[in-house]
Amino acid sequence: MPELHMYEVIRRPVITEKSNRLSSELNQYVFEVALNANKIQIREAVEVLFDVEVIKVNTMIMPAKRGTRGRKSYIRSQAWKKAIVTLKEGQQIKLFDV
Amino acid sequence: MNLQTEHIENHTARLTVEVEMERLEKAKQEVVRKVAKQVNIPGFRKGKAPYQMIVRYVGEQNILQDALEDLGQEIYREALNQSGINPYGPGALQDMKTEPTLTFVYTVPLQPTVDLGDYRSVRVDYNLPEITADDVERSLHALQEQAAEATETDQPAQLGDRLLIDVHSFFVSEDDDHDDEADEDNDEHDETDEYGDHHEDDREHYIHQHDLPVTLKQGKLEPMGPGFTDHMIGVTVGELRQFTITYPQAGEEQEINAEVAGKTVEFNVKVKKVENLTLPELNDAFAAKFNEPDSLSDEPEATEAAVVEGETSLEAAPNAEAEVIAEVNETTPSFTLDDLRARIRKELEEEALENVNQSYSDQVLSDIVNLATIAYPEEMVQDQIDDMLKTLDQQLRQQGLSLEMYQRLLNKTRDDIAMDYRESAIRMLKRSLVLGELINVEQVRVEQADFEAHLARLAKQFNIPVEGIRGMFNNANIQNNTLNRLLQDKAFERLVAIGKGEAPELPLPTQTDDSQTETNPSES
Repeated sequence: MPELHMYEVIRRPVITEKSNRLSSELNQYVFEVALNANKIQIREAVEVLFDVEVIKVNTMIMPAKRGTRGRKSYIRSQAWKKAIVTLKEGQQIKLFDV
Repeated sequence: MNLQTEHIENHTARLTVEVEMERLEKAKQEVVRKVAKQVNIPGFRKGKAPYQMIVRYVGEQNILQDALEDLGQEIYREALNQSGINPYGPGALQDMKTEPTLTFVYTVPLQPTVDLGDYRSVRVDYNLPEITADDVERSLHALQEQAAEATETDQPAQLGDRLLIDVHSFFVSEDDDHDDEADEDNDEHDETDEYGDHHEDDREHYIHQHDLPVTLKQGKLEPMGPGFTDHMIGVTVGELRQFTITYPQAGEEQEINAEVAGKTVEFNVKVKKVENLTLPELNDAFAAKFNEPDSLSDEPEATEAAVVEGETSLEAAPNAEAEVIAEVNETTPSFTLDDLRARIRKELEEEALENVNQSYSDQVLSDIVNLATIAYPEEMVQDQIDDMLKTLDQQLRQQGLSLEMYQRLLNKTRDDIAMDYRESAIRMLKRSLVLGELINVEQVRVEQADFEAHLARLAKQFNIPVEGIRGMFNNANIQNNTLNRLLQDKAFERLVAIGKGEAPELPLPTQTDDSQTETNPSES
């Protein structure tokens, strides 16, 4: 498996009501990351990209959403990896903007 | 909040309001909260998205605009309250600045103010024209004519004959030498073709009428004005006559219809029927005829003819007589010629009194208007014009036209017409303002007794019991209209009294300043 480049680790920030609450109350930021990225890669990527100090990284694989139409089943959305990154107190990521 | 009030021209006030920035922030947040409920932002339930998020979605500009609008209205209300201005209508936001401080500039039309001045000193000469025996005889003669027996004849028409004519007439302007060219628009085709090229020309029509009965007379009652009869004498049935009449200016001994005074009119007259009139003899038997309900039957036709001829004196007479007849029926069992004369005289006198009072109070009102200092905002004039155009539209609709079609006919825009109306709108506005103030100052009120009297009068006129009439006035709208009219009538009565210098003394308390400033124009 070719090595993941830092910019390929993090796909996009997840901005939802829930992530919004996490960032404002717990200083945690949520990203969609590459499925095969590990916590160490994520920590490194976030620290370099956003110039912050990461305390903890939690990851999970969000299951694919499947649907059926008649007898056929299909995938509504692919499985993806979500990472919740806890930053050191007082630091923030501007991208989330709130 | 920092408020400055200044009065500018046109009876309008300018409010300059400086507002703290926090107010704007608050307003923006308010707007965002409202907007949040409507925009769907993925990842968030409605109304739950954070402020920044929404601003980014909706756009800073939009939010600011809405906020300023809301704030502007709020500030306007506050400013009005603080300045104590009494607005006539909604104010307009004239200018708005966000730098260096948030500033709103409003213009507000003010309630009109009327200072009547020394209106009690207005005096106008009161001239009640005397009803002469001649006037009575003339009315009597008109009656006679209605009762006249007509016999059709193919002899040339003479003075006193009645003709049935198709008349087409045009104004001829001085630089226009169409005079000798006919423009007969009757039903025969060869005629129309012959002169067809002149049919659609833009000469202004004066009278266009088919099957119009006229009686050849001279002097005051001459149809179409002086000269017409001379031109028509000697015509026979089927004849077509073309001639022009140059009318003298009004104010000379004869009454000239204002429309044609001093103008030249080209007439094309086709005679359809010539009738000899045999007048009935003036005696008690003749008078008695007007004592019978049957005699009403030939009224409408005669009245119509008189109106078309455009002679005011003729126009009024048959109406008066109709009333005479109606009243006579109830009262006198045997009716002599002298009774009829007396009746006519009484009617004429009443009518003259009414006419004089009307024009007299009109005159007094104009004098008071000239004396008064009136201030009103431009908006009132516009409203007045709008009202007038609406009335015009209604009138046109009754004739199967509309304002749009009318505009096209005249080749004018609505604004052009509005400009035409502007002057009279201002005049009417001033009059109604003054009248409203006058009613206020003079304490003209409609009492219950006045209303009752009005009901009784109507009841008598239509011959139904008072209670029946009262039933009709149960509708609040109708009742209000009636009360307003009665109020106006009373106001005009008071005007007459003022002009004659007979107005009663006012009770003192009304002369305080309060009653003068709090004027509301109550009617038009």
